[in-house]
Amino acid sequence: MRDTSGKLWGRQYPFERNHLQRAMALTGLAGVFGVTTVLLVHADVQAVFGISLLYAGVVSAVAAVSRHRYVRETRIGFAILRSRGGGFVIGSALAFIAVGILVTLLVLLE
Amino acid sequence: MADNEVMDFDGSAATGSRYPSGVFDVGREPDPLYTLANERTYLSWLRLAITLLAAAVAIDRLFLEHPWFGSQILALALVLIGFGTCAVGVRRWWATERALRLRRPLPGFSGPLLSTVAIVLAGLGVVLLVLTPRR
Repeated sequence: MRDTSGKLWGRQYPFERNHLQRAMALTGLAGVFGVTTVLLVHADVQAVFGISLLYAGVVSAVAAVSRHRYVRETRIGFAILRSRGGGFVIGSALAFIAVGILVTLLVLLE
Repeated sequence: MADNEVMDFDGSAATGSRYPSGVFDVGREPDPLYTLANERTYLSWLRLAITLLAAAVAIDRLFLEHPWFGSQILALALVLIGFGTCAVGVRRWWATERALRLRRPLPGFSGPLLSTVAIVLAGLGVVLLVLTPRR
């Protein structure tokens, strides 16, 4: 297959919007998690901010690897759908439940 | 090939093991654009749920000095609606993906409609909270 077949759907890779929206959702979830944790355990804001920067770096690295993999798979062809399941959907929903429980504790305990 | 042309992948469901098997062990591969669009719809539901959680935290903090029954109930209601919104998102993603793979009609709009009603009720609660005179 030609090397440019990644442009099968036009000038934009079809998953770019998904990557952007995934990043937005995870950032929001991490933000609520961070604020709730700070309020709940009366943590040192500076320490949490430092840890958050580390977290952001790790997430950025994972996102870059994920995008690279997507690009490679898209250039190969439809293998993109053979390797990608619903792990992100289920995983992010579980993360949301964890943050939701933290918020519930904040409302009830503080 | 035109940019907006639908591509039908003629793959079998037996290619590799993908999670969750309840979704990916049935039917044939749909057009990748539809799968990606389905995930973006789920992400929109997730963002709405996160916003509801943030609103619950905000209400809790706003009434920190003088908490009263109504504010706590409203904050907890927002958390519950957030959970429900996330569940609706996952359920719709699941049902839509299966429908796409089985070439069946997409699910109806009853779940999101219920979610919308719940959010409107929560909004009325916020309005009542703001308008209620504080002691």
